[in-house]
Amino acid sequence: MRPPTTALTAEATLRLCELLRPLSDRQIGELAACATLRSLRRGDTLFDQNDEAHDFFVVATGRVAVRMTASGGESIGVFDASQYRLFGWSSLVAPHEYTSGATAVEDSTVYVIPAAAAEDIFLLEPFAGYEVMKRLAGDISVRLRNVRTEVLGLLNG
Amino acid sequence: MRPPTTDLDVESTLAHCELLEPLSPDQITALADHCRMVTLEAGEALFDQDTVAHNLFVVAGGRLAIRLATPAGRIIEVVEVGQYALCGWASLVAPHIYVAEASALDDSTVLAISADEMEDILLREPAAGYQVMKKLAGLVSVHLREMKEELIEVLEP
Repeated sequence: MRPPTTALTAEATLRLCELLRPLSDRQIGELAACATLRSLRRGDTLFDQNDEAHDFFVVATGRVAVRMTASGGESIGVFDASQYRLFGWSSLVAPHEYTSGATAVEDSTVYVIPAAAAEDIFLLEPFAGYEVMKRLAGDISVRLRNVRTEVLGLLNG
Repeated sequence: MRPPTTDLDVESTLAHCELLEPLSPDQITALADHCRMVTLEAGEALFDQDTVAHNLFVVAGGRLAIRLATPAGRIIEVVEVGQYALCGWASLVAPHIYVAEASALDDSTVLAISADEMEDILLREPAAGYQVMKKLAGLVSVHLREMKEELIEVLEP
């Protein structure tokens, strides 16, 4: 497999991640230092729904689908994570279990960041860490709202 | 209406709220200074779904029901909130819109806190504020998981 070109360094990639925007240059540098690059072929699974969540990911190149699957096999579209997008945030919050599975939609590269190390880095400058966590809570709340709308639409129909 | 007995003072009530557990005694005292007590008769609404969220609430006495409504007005009960529990968390995170409606199941007393004042107090000690926001992100993520499971149930034959 020839992994897709990662146009930017780990530091530059993380700097372009919207959710991490409140972090200082020092924090981004430290996060980049503990990030590892992983290549995925189209169709490779990065993690499964209900797996214990230790890491989160930032897409360097390509696209990763984050989906929840019903026991009957139906897939619920949550979102496709494209370049610079963070996913696997369940590793950062209790109960530290992935709510969905993640599979590469195309050949992709992702930065893998251990959540425990990231939390130490967030807390180096807790004001910035607070802002990241607030953005994360907001993102999850938007997803909750979207799923809620989907449920209510189906119940209404 | 005879308001329900609130067996603790405002400060102790806030100190018993699980989500606020990371806060220091000084932060709890400051929050108590900024709370106002709201009494509700059974059946009375505290806030409506999809309205702008300015305040969060801690139940001092009684019980609330958090409900979702379909666009056609069909009510789906989601969760019951008892003493010392927090509701109205959507006021703390973007897009600051209540996800569901809340009303009193019994005659109830709640402590109302402005989200802006809450954030100022959280940021007086940002490491503690970070931990509160992390707990909040975890709580919203549990709601998201439950809502996805609800969606799966609706989709499955």
